[in-house]
Amino acid sequence: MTGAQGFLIVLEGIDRSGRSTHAGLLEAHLRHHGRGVTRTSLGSSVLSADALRRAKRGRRPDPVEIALLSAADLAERVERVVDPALRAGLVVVADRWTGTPIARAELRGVDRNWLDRLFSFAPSPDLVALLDLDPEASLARRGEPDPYEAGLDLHLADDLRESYRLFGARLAGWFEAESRRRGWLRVPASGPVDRVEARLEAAADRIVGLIGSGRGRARTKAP
Amino acid sequence: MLIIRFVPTRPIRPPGLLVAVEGIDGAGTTAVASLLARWIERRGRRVHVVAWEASAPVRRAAADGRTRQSLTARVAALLVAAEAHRRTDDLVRRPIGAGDVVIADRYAWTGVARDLARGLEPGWIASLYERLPAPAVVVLVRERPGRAIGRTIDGRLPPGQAEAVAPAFGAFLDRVALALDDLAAGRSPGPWPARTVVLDPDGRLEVGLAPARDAIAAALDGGEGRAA
Repeated sequence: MTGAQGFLIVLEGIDRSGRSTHAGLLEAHLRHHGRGVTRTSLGSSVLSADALRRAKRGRRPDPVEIALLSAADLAERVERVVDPALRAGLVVVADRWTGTPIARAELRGVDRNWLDRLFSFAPSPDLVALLDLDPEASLARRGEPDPYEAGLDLHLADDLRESYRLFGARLAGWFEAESRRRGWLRVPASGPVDRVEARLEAAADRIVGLIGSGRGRARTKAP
Repeated sequence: MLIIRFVPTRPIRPPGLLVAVEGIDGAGTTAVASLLARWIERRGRRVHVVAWEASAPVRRAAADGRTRQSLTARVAALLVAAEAHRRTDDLVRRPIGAGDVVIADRYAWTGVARDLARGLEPGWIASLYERLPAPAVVVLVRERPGRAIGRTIDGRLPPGQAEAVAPAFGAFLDRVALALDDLAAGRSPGPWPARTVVLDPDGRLEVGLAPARDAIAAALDGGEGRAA
Protein backbone atom coordinates (compact mmCIF):
# COMPACT_ATOMS: atom_id res chain seq x y z
CA MET A 1 0.00 0.00 0.00
CA THR A 2 1.46 3.38 -0.88
CA GLY A 3 0.43 6.89 0.01
CA ALA A 4 -1.01 5.89 3.39
CA GLN A 5 -1.60 8.83 5.70
CA GLY A 6 -2.31 7.09 8.96
CA PHE A 7 0.04 5.54 11.48
CA LEU A 8 0.44 2.00 12.71
CA ILE A 9 1.64 1.59 16.27
CA VAL A 10 2.27 -1.93 17.54
CA LEU A 11 2.66 -3.17 21.09
CA GLU A 12 4.50 -6.49 21.37
CA GLY A 13 5.65 -8.50 24.33
CA ILE A 14 5.15 -11.77 26.16
CA ASP A 15 1.87 -12.73 27.74
CA ARG A 16 0.62 -10.47 30.57
CA SER A 17 3.18 -7.79 29.81
CA GLY A 18 0.39 -5.20 29.82
CA ARG A 19 -0.14 -4.81 26.09
CA SER A 20 -3.92 -4.54 26.09
CA THR A 21 -3.95 -2.20 29.11
CA HIS A 22 -1.47 0.11 27.41
CA ALA A 23 -3.18 -0.15 24.04
CA GLY A 24 -6.32 1.17 25.76
CA LEU A 25 -4.43 3.95 27.53
CA LEU A 26 -2.67 4.95 24.33
CA GLU A 27 -5.94 5.05 22.45
CA ALA A 28 -7.46 7.30 25.11
CA HIS A 29 -4.42 9.60 25.04
CA LEU A 30 -4.42 9.97 21.27
CA ARG A 31 -8.18 10.53 21.17
CA HIS A 32 -7.82 13.17 23.87
CA HIS A 33 -5.43 15.00 21.53
CA GLY A 34 -7.85 14.84 18.66
CA ARG A 35 -6.54 11.82 16.77
CA GLY A 36 -8.88 9.22 15.33
CA VAL A 37 -7.84 5.80 16.61
CA THR A 38 -8.70 2.21 15.76
CA ARG A 39 -7.55 -0.74 17.83
CA THR A 40 -6.95 -4.30 16.72
CA SER A 41 -5.58 -7.34 18.49
CA LEU A 42 -4.26 -10.79 17.65
CA GLY A 43 -6.96 -13.44 17.36
CA SER A 44 -9.89 -11.05 17.01
CA SER A 45 -10.87 -11.75 13.41
CA VAL A 46 -14.32 -13.01 12.47
CA LEU A 47 -13.22 -15.95 10.33
CA SER A 48 -10.08 -17.36 11.92
CA ALA A 49 -10.25 -16.69 15.65
CA ASP A 50 -12.20 -19.85 16.55
CA ALA A 51 -10.12 -22.09 14.32
CA LEU A 52 -6.98 -20.58 15.83
CA ARG A 53 -8.18 -21.32 19.35
CA ARG A 54 -9.12 -24.88 18.42
CA ALA A 55 -5.76 -25.49 16.73
CA LYS A 56 -3.87 -24.31 19.82
CA ARG A 57 -5.93 -26.54 22.09
CA GLY A 58 -5.53 -29.65 19.94
CA ARG A 59 -3.72 -32.71 21.21
CA ARG A 60 -0.75 -32.08 18.95
CA PRO A 61 -0.77 -28.42 17.94
CA ASP A 62 0.83 -28.01 14.50
CA PRO A 63 2.90 -24.79 14.45
CA VAL A 64 2.65 -24.50 10.65
CA GLU A 65 -1.15 -24.72 10.76
CA ILE A 66 -1.24 -22.21 13.62
CA ALA A 67 1.09 -19.83 11.73
CA LEU A 68 -1.21 -20.04 8.68
CA LEU A 69 -4.30 -19.39 10.80
CA SER A 70 -2.53 -16.49 12.54
CA ALA A 71 -1.72 -15.07 9.11
CA ALA A 72 -5.38 -15.51 8.08
CA ASP A 73 -6.42 -13.72 11.27
CA LEU A 74 -4.03 -10.85 10.55
CA ALA A 75 -4.91 -10.69 6.83
CA GLU A 76 -8.60 -10.30 7.63
CA ARG A 77 -7.89 -7.52 10.11
CA VAL A 78 -5.47 -5.80 7.73
CA GLU A 79 -7.97 -5.83 4.87
CA ARG A 80 -11.09 -5.09 6.90
CA VAL A 81 -9.78 -2.74 9.58
CA VAL A 82 -6.15 -1.64 9.32
CA ASP A 83 -5.73 -0.66 5.67
CA PRO A 84 -9.02 1.29 5.51
CA ALA A 85 -8.16 3.07 8.77
CA LEU A 86 -4.67 3.98 7.56
CA ARG A 87 -6.09 5.24 4.26
CA ALA A 88 -8.51 7.38 6.27
CA GLY A 89 -5.62 8.91 8.22
CA LEU A 90 -6.35 7.20 11.54
CA VAL A 91 -3.89 5.88 14.07
CA VAL A 92 -4.08 2.10 14.39
CA VAL A 93 -2.97 0.72 17.73
CA ALA A 94 -2.29 -3.02 17.38
CA ASP A 95 -1.99 -5.35 20.35
CA ARG A 96 0.58 -7.68 18.71
CA TRP A 97 1.33 -7.86 15.01
CA THR A 98 3.61 -10.30 13.20
CA GLY A 99 6.14 -10.63 16.03
CA THR A 100 4.18 -12.90 18.35
CA PRO A 101 3.01 -15.48 15.78
CA ILE A 102 6.46 -15.56 14.15
CA ALA A 103 8.16 -15.98 17.53
CA ARG A 104 5.84 -18.79 18.63
CA ALA A 105 6.32 -20.66 15.36
CA GLU A 106 10.07 -20.11 15.04
CA LEU A 107 10.62 -21.28 18.60
CA ARG A 108 8.78 -24.47 17.60
CA GLY A 109 11.18 -25.07 14.71
CA VAL A 110 9.38 -23.46 11.79
CA ASP A 111 11.72 -21.90 9.23
CA ARG A 112 12.12 -18.15 9.74
CA ASN A 113 12.40 -17.27 6.06
CA TRP A 114 9.13 -19.07 5.37
CA LEU A 115 7.46 -17.20 8.23
CA ASP A 116 8.73 -13.82 7.03
CA ARG A 117 7.36 -14.57 3.57
CA LEU A 118 4.04 -15.76 4.99
CA PHE A 119 3.50 -12.47 6.82
CA SER A 120 4.98 -10.26 4.08
CA PHE A 121 1.51 -8.89 3.20
CA ALA A 122 1.31 -7.01 6.50
CA PRO A 123 2.00 -3.26 6.44
CA SER A 124 5.17 -2.35 8.28
CA PRO A 125 4.50 -0.48 11.53
CA ASP A 126 5.62 3.10 12.15
CA LEU A 127 6.46 2.18 15.72
CA VAL A 128 6.86 -1.14 17.51
CA ALA A 129 7.10 -0.89 21.29
CA LEU A 130 8.25 -4.00 23.11
CA LEU A 131 6.86 -4.22 26.63
CA ASP A 132 9.78 -5.89 28.32
CA LEU A 133 8.79 -8.14 31.20
CA ASP A 134 10.51 -11.04 32.90
CA PRO A 135 8.48 -14.30 32.51
CA GLU A 136 8.59 -14.79 36.28
CA ALA A 137 7.00 -11.37 36.80
CA SER A 138 4.41 -12.08 34.10
CA LEU A 139 3.53 -15.36 35.81
CA ALA A 140 2.86 -13.53 39.05
CA ARG A 141 0.34 -11.22 37.37
CA ARG A 142 -2.51 -13.68 36.73
CA GLY A 143 -3.69 -17.27 37.14
CA GLU A 144 -3.03 -20.29 34.97
CA PRO A 145 -1.31 -19.65 31.65
CA ASP A 146 -2.67 -20.96 28.36
CA PRO A 147 -0.96 -24.32 27.56
CA TYR A 148 0.09 -23.32 24.03
CA GLU A 149 1.40 -19.97 25.17
CA ALA A 150 3.26 -21.83 27.92
CA GLY A 151 4.89 -24.04 25.28
CA LEU A 152 3.53 -27.19 26.92
CA ASP A 153 3.55 -28.96 23.54
CA LEU A 154 7.35 -28.59 23.48
CA HIS A 155 7.67 -30.82 26.57
CA LEU A 156 10.08 -28.45 28.27
CA ALA A 157 8.50 -29.38 31.61
CA ASP A 158 5.50 -31.37 32.79
CA ASP A 159 4.30 -28.59 35.05
CA LEU A 160 2.37 -25.86 33.24
CA ARG A 161 3.85 -22.96 35.19
CA GLU A 162 7.40 -24.29 34.90
CA SER A 163 6.87 -24.76 31.17
CA TYR A 164 5.64 -21.17 30.98
CA ARG A 165 8.80 -19.98 32.76
CA LEU A 166 11.07 -21.86 30.39
CA PHE A 167 9.18 -21.04 27.21
CA GLY A 168 8.64 -17.45 28.39
CA ALA A 169 12.41 -17.05 28.78
CA ARG A 170 12.88 -18.23 25.19
CA LEU A 171 10.18 -15.85 23.98
CA ALA A 172 11.69 -12.96 25.92
CA GLY A 173 15.09 -13.76 24.35
CA TRP A 174 13.53 -13.88 20.89
CA PHE A 175 11.84 -10.49 21.42
CA GLU A 176 15.05 -8.97 22.74
CA ALA A 177 17.05 -10.12 19.70
CA GLU A 178 14.30 -9.02 17.32
CA SER A 179 13.97 -5.60 18.93
CA ARG A 180 17.72 -5.03 18.49
CA ARG A 181 17.63 -6.18 14.89
CA ARG A 182 14.65 -4.06 13.95
CA GLY A 183 15.17 -1.05 16.17
CA TRP A 184 12.04 -1.51 18.25
CA LEU A 185 11.44 0.67 21.26
CA ARG A 186 12.01 -1.34 24.43
CA VAL A 187 9.96 -0.26 27.41
CA PRO A 188 10.53 -1.95 30.79
CA ALA A 189 7.05 -3.14 31.74
CA SER A 190 7.71 -4.11 35.34
CA GLY A 191 7.49 -0.54 36.60
CA PRO A 192 4.41 1.48 37.53
CA VAL A 193 1.73 1.71 34.85
CA ASP A 194 2.00 5.50 34.57
CA ARG A 195 5.73 5.33 33.86
CA VAL A 196 5.21 2.83 31.03
CA GLU A 197 2.27 4.89 29.81
CA ALA A 198 4.37 8.07 29.70
CA ARG A 199 7.11 6.45 27.64
CA LEU A 200 4.64 5.00 25.16
CA GLU A 201 2.76 8.28 24.85
CA ALA A 202 5.96 10.24 24.23
CA ALA A 203 7.05 7.81 21.51
CA ALA A 204 3.59 7.78 19.91
CA ASP A 205 3.38 11.59 20.04
CA ARG A 206 6.62 11.87 18.07
CA ILE A 207 5.35 9.38 15.48
CA VAL A 208 1.94 10.93 14.88
CA GLY A 209 3.21 14.50 14.97
CA LEU A 210 1.89 15.68 18.32
CA ILE A 211 5.55 16.47 19.03
CA GLY A 212 7.76 17.59 16.12
CA SER A 213 6.76 17.00 12.54
CA GLY A 214 5.68 13.38 12.68
CA ARG A 215 6.87 10.55 10.49
CA GLY A 216 4.28 10.36 7.77
CA ARG A 217 5.59 8.29 4.89
CA ALA A 218 4.59 5.99 2.12
CA ARG A 219 4.04 2.64 3.79
CA THR A 220 5.68 -0.51 2.54
CA LYS A 221 4.86 -4.15 3.16
CA ALA A 222 7.41 -5.70 5.48
CA PRO A 223 7.42 -8.11 8.36
CA MET B 1 32.70 -73.39 18.38
CA LEU B 2 30.65 -71.53 15.86
CA ILE B 3 27.38 -70.24 17.20
CA ILE B 4 24.85 -69.07 14.70
CA ARG B 5 22.22 -66.78 16.02
CA PHE B 6 19.11 -65.78 14.18
CA VAL B 7 18.59 -62.11 14.73
CA PRO B 8 14.97 -61.12 14.28
CA THR B 9 14.73 -58.28 11.79
CA ARG B 10 11.92 -56.04 10.80
CA PRO B 11 10.37 -56.88 7.43
CA ILE B 12 11.67 -54.58 4.74
CA ARG B 13 9.01 -52.02 4.03
CA PRO B 14 8.88 -50.18 0.73
CA PRO B 15 8.89 -46.43 1.05
CA GLY B 16 5.52 -44.72 0.92
CA LEU B 17 4.58 -42.64 -2.06
CA LEU B 18 2.31 -39.72 -2.77
CA VAL B 19 0.65 -39.18 -6.15
CA ALA B 20 -1.41 -36.04 -6.74
CA VAL B 21 -4.14 -36.00 -9.38
CA GLU B 22 -4.98 -32.39 -10.20
CA GLY B 23 -7.55 -30.73 -12.42
CA ILE B 24 -10.37 -28.22 -12.51
CA ASP B 25 -13.81 -29.06 -11.10
CA GLY B 26 -15.47 -31.59 -13.37
CA ALA B 27 -12.23 -32.64 -15.08
CA GLY B 28 -12.56 -36.27 -14.02
CA THR B 29 -9.82 -36.42 -11.40
CA THR B 30 -11.83 -38.90 -9.30
CA ALA B 31 -12.10 -41.36 -12.17
CA VAL B 32 -8.38 -41.07 -12.90
CA ALA B 33 -7.44 -41.46 -9.22
CA SER B 34 -9.62 -44.56 -8.98
CA LEU B 35 -8.11 -46.18 -12.11
CA LEU B 36 -4.58 -45.47 -10.92
CA ALA B 37 -5.40 -46.86 -7.47
CA ARG B 38 -6.64 -50.15 -8.92
CA TRP B 39 -3.56 -50.42 -11.11
CA ILE B 40 -1.20 -49.80 -8.17
CA GLU B 41 -3.10 -52.30 -6.00
CA ARG B 42 -2.61 -54.92 -8.71
CA ARG B 43 1.11 -54.32 -8.24
CA GLY B 44 0.71 -55.43 -4.65
CA ARG B 45 0.75 -52.07 -2.88
CA ARG B 46 -1.81 -50.79 -0.45
CA VAL B 47 -3.40 -47.60 -1.73
CA HIS B 48 -5.39 -44.85 -0.03
CA VAL B 49 -7.39 -42.54 -2.27
CA VAL B 50 -7.87 -39.26 -0.46
CA ALA B 51 -10.52 -36.81 -1.60
CA TRP B 52 -8.52 -33.70 -0.90
CA GLU B 53 -11.01 -30.94 -0.44
CA ALA B 54 -9.57 -28.36 1.90
CA SER B 55 -11.95 -25.57 1.01
CA ALA B 56 -14.71 -26.57 3.46
CA PRO B 57 -13.99 -23.66 5.89
CA VAL B 58 -14.18 -21.22 2.99
CA ARG B 59 -17.44 -22.68 1.69
CA ARG B 60 -18.94 -22.40 5.18
CA ALA B 61 -17.77 -18.78 5.48
CA ALA B 62 -19.10 -17.92 2.02
CA ALA B 63 -22.51 -19.38 2.85
CA ASP B 64 -22.91 -17.25 5.98
CA GLY B 65 -23.94 -13.65 5.46
CA ARG B 66 -22.15 -12.59 8.66
CA THR B 67 -18.77 -13.90 7.54
CA ARG B 68 -18.98 -13.55 3.75
CA GLN B 69 -17.77 -9.95 3.74
CA SER B 70 -14.56 -10.85 5.55
CA LEU B 71 -13.70 -13.55 3.05
CA THR B 72 -11.15 -11.87 0.80
CA ALA B 73 -8.95 -13.80 -1.63
CA ARG B 74 -5.98 -13.68 0.74
CA VAL B 75 -7.96 -14.78 3.79
CA ALA B 76 -9.51 -17.63 1.78
CA ALA B 77 -6.07 -18.73 0.55
CA LEU B 78 -4.71 -18.84 4.09
CA LEU B 79 -7.74 -20.68 5.51
CA VAL B 80 -7.55 -23.34 2.78
CA ALA B 81 -3.79 -23.77 3.27
CA ALA B 82 -4.27 -24.10 7.04
CA GLU B 83 -6.99 -26.72 6.54
CA ALA B 84 -4.73 -28.60 4.13
CA HIS B 85 -1.97 -28.70 6.74
CA ARG B 86 -4.42 -29.76 9.44
CA ARG B 87 -5.46 -32.79 7.41
CA THR B 88 -2.02 -33.82 6.19
CA ASP B 89 -0.91 -35.87 9.20
CA ASP B 90 -3.85 -38.25 9.13
CA LEU B 91 -4.49 -38.39 5.40
CA VAL B 92 -1.00 -38.29 3.95
CA ARG B 93 1.93 -38.48 6.37
CA ARG B 94 0.71 -41.43 8.40
CA PRO B 95 -0.11 -43.80 5.48
CA ILE B 96 3.07 -42.80 3.64
CA GLY B 97 5.01 -43.45 6.82
CA ALA B 98 3.46 -46.93 6.91
CA GLY B 99 4.81 -47.59 3.42
CA ASP B 100 1.49 -47.16 1.63
CA VAL B 101 0.68 -45.24 -1.53
CA VAL B 102 -1.57 -42.21 -1.21
CA ILE B 103 -3.38 -40.87 -4.24
CA ALA B 104 -4.69 -37.41 -3.53
CA ASP B 105 -7.75 -36.64 -5.63
CA ARG B 106 -6.55 -33.04 -5.99
CA TYR B 107 -3.87 -31.57 -3.78
CA ALA B 108 -1.83 -28.42 -3.47
CA TRP B 109 -1.86 -27.39 -7.13
CA THR B 110 -5.63 -27.04 -7.04
CA GLY B 111 -5.34 -24.62 -4.10
CA VAL B 112 -2.49 -22.74 -5.76
CA ALA B 113 -4.32 -22.51 -9.11
CA ARG B 114 -7.51 -21.20 -7.50
CA ASP B 115 -5.51 -18.53 -5.66
CA LEU B 116 -3.64 -17.59 -8.85
CA ALA B 117 -7.03 -17.26 -10.57
CA ARG B 118 -8.06 -14.84 -7.82
CA GLY B 119 -5.00 -12.68 -8.57
CA LEU B 120 -2.74 -13.34 -5.59
CA GLU B 121 1.06 -13.25 -5.90
CA PRO B 122 2.38 -16.57 -7.35
CA GLY B 123 5.47 -16.88 -5.14
CA TRP B 124 3.55 -16.16 -1.97
CA ILE B 125 0.81 -18.66 -2.83
CA ALA B 126 3.30 -21.42 -3.65
CA SER B 127 5.01 -20.88 -0.30
CA LEU B 128 1.75 -21.56 1.57
CA TYR B 129 1.92 -25.20 0.44
CA GLU B 130 5.65 -25.90 0.41
CA ARG B 131 5.52 -27.40 3.92
CA LEU B 132 3.17 -30.18 2.73
CA PRO B 133 4.65 -33.54 1.69
CA ALA B 134 5.74 -33.31 -1.95
CA PRO B 135 4.17 -35.77 -4.39
CA ALA B 136 6.49 -38.05 -6.36
CA VAL B 137 4.23 -37.63 -9.39
CA VAL B 138 1.60 -35.02 -10.29
CA VAL B 139 -0.98 -36.10 -12.84
CA LEU B 140 -2.77 -33.11 -14.35
CA VAL B 141 -6.12 -34.08 -15.89
CA ARG B 142 -6.81 -31.37 -18.45
CA GLU B 143 -10.39 -30.68 -19.49
CA ARG B 144 -12.07 -27.95 -21.48
CA PRO B 145 -13.81 -25.66 -18.95
CA GLY B 146 -16.91 -25.54 -21.14
CA ARG B 147 -17.28 -29.29 -20.85
CA ALA B 148 -16.27 -29.49 -17.19
CA ILE B 149 -18.77 -26.87 -16.09
CA GLY B 150 -21.67 -29.00 -17.28
CA ARG B 151 -20.53 -31.90 -15.10
CA THR B 152 -20.03 -29.61 -12.14
CA ILE B 153 -23.27 -27.69 -11.93
CA ASP B 154 -25.77 -29.68 -13.98
CA GLY B 155 -28.18 -31.43 -11.67
CA ARG B 156 -26.79 -29.75 -8.55
CA LEU B 157 -28.61 -26.47 -8.98
CA PRO B 158 -32.28 -25.85 -9.72
CA PRO B 159 -33.22 -24.96 -13.30
CA GLY B 160 -32.55 -21.30 -13.96
CA GLN B 161 -29.94 -20.98 -11.26
CA ALA B 162 -27.41 -23.10 -13.17
CA GLU B 163 -27.73 -20.82 -16.20
CA ALA B 164 -27.33 -17.77 -13.97
CA VAL B 165 -24.08 -18.85 -12.36
CA ALA B 166 -22.54 -20.62 -15.35
CA PRO B 167 -20.88 -17.59 -17.02
CA ALA B 168 -19.10 -16.40 -13.85
CA PHE B 169 -18.15 -19.93 -12.83
CA GLY B 170 -17.01 -20.69 -16.35
CA ALA B 171 -14.76 -17.62 -16.41
CA PHE B 172 -13.26 -18.66 -13.08
CA LEU B 173 -12.69 -22.25 -14.30
CA ASP B 174 -10.96 -20.82 -17.39
CA ARG B 175 -8.53 -18.97 -15.16
CA VAL B 176 -7.96 -21.99 -12.91
CA ALA B 177 -7.31 -24.19 -15.97
CA LEU B 178 -4.76 -21.68 -17.28
CA ALA B 179 -3.11 -21.50 -13.87
CA LEU B 180 -2.84 -25.32 -13.75
CA ASP B 181 -1.27 -25.31 -17.23
CA ASP B 182 1.21 -22.66 -16.06
CA LEU B 183 2.13 -24.81 -13.05
CA ALA B 184 2.59 -27.88 -15.25
CA ALA B 185 4.76 -25.93 -17.70
CA GLY B 186 6.80 -24.33 -14.91
CA ARG B 187 5.64 -20.84 -15.88
CA SER B 188 4.29 -20.33 -12.34
CA PRO B 189 6.22 -21.42 -9.29
CA GLY B 190 4.83 -24.53 -7.62
CA PRO B 191 5.38 -25.44 -3.98
CA TRP B 192 8.02 -28.03 -4.97
CA PRO B 193 9.53 -29.51 -8.12
CA ALA B 194 7.45 -32.52 -9.21
CA ARG B 195 7.49 -35.02 -12.02
CA THR B 196 4.39 -34.06 -14.00
CA VAL B 197 2.24 -36.01 -16.45
CA VAL B 198 -0.46 -34.14 -18.37
CA LEU B 199 -3.54 -36.03 -19.60
CA ASP B 200 -4.98 -34.59 -22.78
CA PRO B 201 -8.70 -33.73 -22.69
CA ASP B 202 -9.41 -35.26 -26.09
CA GLY B 203 -7.37 -38.42 -25.80
CA ARG B 204 -8.68 -41.83 -24.73
CA LEU B 205 -8.27 -42.16 -21.00
CA GLU B 206 -6.72 -45.65 -21.15
CA VAL B 207 -4.10 -44.41 -23.59
CA GLY B 208 -3.53 -41.19 -21.68
CA LEU B 209 -2.96 -43.07 -18.45
CA ALA B 210 0.02 -45.00 -19.80
CA PRO B 211 2.58 -42.23 -19.20
CA ALA B 212 1.10 -41.64 -15.74
CA ARG B 213 1.53 -45.34 -14.93
CA ASP B 214 5.09 -45.27 -16.28
CA ALA B 215 5.95 -42.30 -14.07
CA ILE B 216 4.38 -43.93 -11.01
CA ALA B 217 6.06 -47.27 -11.76
CA ALA B 218 9.41 -45.51 -11.99
CA ALA B 219 8.76 -43.81 -8.67
CA LEU B 220 7.66 -47.08 -7.03
CA ASP B 221 10.56 -49.08 -8.43
CA GLY B 222 13.10 -46.35 -7.91
CA GLY B 223 12.15 -45.85 -4.28
CA GLU B 224 11.33 -42.23 -4.80
CA GLY B 225 8.59 -42.38 -2.24
CA ARG B 226 8.56 -39.78 0.41
CA ALA B 227 8.49 -40.98 3.95
CA ALA B 228 6.54 -38.68 6.21
